[in-house]
Amino acid sequence: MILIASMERIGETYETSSGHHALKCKFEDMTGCPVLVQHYSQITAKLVDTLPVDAIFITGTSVPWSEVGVKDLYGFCDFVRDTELPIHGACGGHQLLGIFFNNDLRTVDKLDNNWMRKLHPNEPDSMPDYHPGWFTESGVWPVQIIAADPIFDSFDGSLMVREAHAGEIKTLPPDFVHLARNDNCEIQAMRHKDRPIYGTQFHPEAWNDDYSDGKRFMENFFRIAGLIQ
Amino acid sequence: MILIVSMSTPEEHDTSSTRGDLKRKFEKLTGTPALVQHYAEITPALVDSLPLDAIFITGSGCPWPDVDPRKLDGLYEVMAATEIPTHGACAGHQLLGFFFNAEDFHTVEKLEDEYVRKLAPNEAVSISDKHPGQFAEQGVFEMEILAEDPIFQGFDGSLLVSESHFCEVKTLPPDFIHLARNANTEIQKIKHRDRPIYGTQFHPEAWTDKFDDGKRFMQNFFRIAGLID
Repeated sequence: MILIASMERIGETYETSSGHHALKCKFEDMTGCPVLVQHYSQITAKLVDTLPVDAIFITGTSVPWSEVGVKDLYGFCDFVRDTELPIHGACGGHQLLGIFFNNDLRTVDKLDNNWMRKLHPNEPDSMPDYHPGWFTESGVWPVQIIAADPIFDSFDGSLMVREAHAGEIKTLPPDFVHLARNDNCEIQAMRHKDRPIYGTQFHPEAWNDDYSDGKRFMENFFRIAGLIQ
Repeated sequence: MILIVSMSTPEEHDTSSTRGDLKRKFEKLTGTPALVQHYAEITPALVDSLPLDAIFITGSGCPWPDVDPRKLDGLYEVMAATEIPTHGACAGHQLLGFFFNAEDFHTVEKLEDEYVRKLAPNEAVSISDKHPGQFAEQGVFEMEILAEDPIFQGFDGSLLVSESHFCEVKTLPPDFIHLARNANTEIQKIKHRDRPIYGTQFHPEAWTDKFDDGKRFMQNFFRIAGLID
């Protein structure tokens, strides 16, 4: 079973939104495994222990970190910091891994947004309704691989992937390896040095027929998790 | 974990946020995660791989002749043997009728819409577009309890529940007990004689604050499944 940890605002998940249904179907088609969606505030070590979980995918979010309640993350943080299960965090999920592994969450009152940079004067805003005034990396961008890893199997130096973010991870967490970068954002991909915990600032799960690198990337992740051959 | 078997068409299941509201409703009621899977995905092997406490089979807006019985064979094989508490509502109830009234469901070539009755001349039409000329029981109706059962704990002879159907189960399946009726539809509720498999023509899951008998009914079901005290 794959667990999708939804990073939507509390109260939005599957009540007022699609609840990641399309992503669930995409992963089920790819792996043949059932996919359970749970909001991050529902996920604890105790819950995961009761389920036959093979892999965890943490979604992106459009909620600024400054509006996320730190205490609502405690249970999920304790689980992620301790688990041996394969995890992939994308975009907001990647930034969340940065938050979890760069901090002792119980000493943090409020989370920083860590925007990439302010827009230059007269620089066009590609997503004016997203986080106005801040640069947003939006669209399909090349990302350079800077360290070999099974997650990049069949890729030769770079990949073309979907980006949609204004925030980023400013500091590589201790015990993490820096895997990929581009000129917009230095920490585009990272992994834990001992455990199969991956984060990507890009959205590999948002592949399409024209740009399918993300699909091969996700297949590599599910192969690492033992879900596909 | 609760398994919600969605009776949506495959196209609806791929393109909509199918059953997200129901998933959340059951998770809130029980504190247990609910996994949604399309009926065509259900097999004994899948069910055996999951730590299931209860199964809920949803309703459907799809005419039965448009459903391929071979896509239901896996679910049939589960229902033929499982001891997991199961509740089928509306189309889920009618499906239990098809499964258990057939000598061998694997040989059933086509499913038929078994209408409650034709509309009388000049009778008001509650839903006009789906099955013209046929009576629909639509709205909140009273059920008459015919036999005692733990599922009716806390109810005194009747309950008020949501209905939305054109078809019904015409023949009580062998090995099933008739538990409730009303003037519109005789077989409003059935239960397997030996296993905790329930069907209701009504929608207990569609409770509202004003009409909350369905909520107490679903709590009884999840209590039978050991999910709530």
